[in-house]
Amino acid sequence: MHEVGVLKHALETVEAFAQANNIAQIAKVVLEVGELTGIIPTMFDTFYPILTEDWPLFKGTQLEVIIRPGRGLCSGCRNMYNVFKHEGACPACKSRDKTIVSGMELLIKEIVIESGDEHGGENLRDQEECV
Amino acid sequence: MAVKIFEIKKSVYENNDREAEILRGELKSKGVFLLNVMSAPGSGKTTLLLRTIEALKEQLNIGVIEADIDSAVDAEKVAKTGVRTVQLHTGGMCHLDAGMVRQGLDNLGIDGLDLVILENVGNLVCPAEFDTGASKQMMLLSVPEGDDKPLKYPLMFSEVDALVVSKIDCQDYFDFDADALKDRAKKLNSAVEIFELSAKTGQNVAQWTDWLHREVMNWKEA
Repeated sequence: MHEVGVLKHALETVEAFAQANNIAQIAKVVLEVGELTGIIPTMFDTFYPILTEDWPLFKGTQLEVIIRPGRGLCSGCRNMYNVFKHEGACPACKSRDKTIVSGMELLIKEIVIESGDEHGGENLRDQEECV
Repeated sequence: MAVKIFEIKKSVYENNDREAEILRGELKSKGVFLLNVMSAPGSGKTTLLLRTIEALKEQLNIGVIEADIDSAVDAEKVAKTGVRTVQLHTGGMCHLDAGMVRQGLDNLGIDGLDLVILENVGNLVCPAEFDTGASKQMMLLSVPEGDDKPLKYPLMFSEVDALVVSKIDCQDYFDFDADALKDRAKKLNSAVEIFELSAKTGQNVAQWTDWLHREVMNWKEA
């Protein structure tokens, strides 16, 4: 249920970014969600249209959620394993002591806008200093 | 149609974290200590709160923010102690964020207060994710909930400064291994202060209130 609040925070950040960069229209919002964040990605999909219904910048836009695997390095036997799949315990030695390597990400990765300018289709990923 | 991609790479919590940091700074400059209290529903937050107020109200000016999805039953109980109290309704949200806390503090009016206790929504998941701007965070875990909770809700245990284990007066009726709980909590958070008490009988409550009093004074002086 916390997905509503988390998603709202994410979209407020995107809105601030859009205003700062004079972006009036968005086609897609891309989020990165780690498996160990406690966020259920399908809940984002469910709530997105509801949350954006009266939010002009996002109404009718697409949400893409990229899931990052929850990986841990076992402190006992140094085995790298999927923490989510193995419910927190190393499948090799059963130890629960570990260092989380990935899966705690909760990021606004990027936004995609459709440009009317046929020559404006370049990818701006390498121009982060501009945005 | 051509497409442009703007890479943002920002944490979803960034806006809230920034607001929380600003709020913490404002509270610090006014000498107001904000304690964020988190726990599962029914762990006895309000009962401990009443004990805490009773112990500290002669020494500190205290205010209370009660947060619930609905109702004002907790705020009514606390208001009877004579301390300033406001009730926040989260309107279905399972947590408080810095913006909501600011509203609560504005409604409460913090001038002249030394300590504001924020009773977060009863929930062990979501409140841990959102920085409220609190000076310190406390989590309450009651004996009937079991000693395995650090395994199930690791984030909450990693985030808090103090862990209060409550309802120890009924420990004999439950298979609660206090040492196992402490081991599990310390493994996640070696700096956490752990208190074992009963808000009902008053046993060990002074250890907790002494710690809180000391933290408030440190906050005001530093």
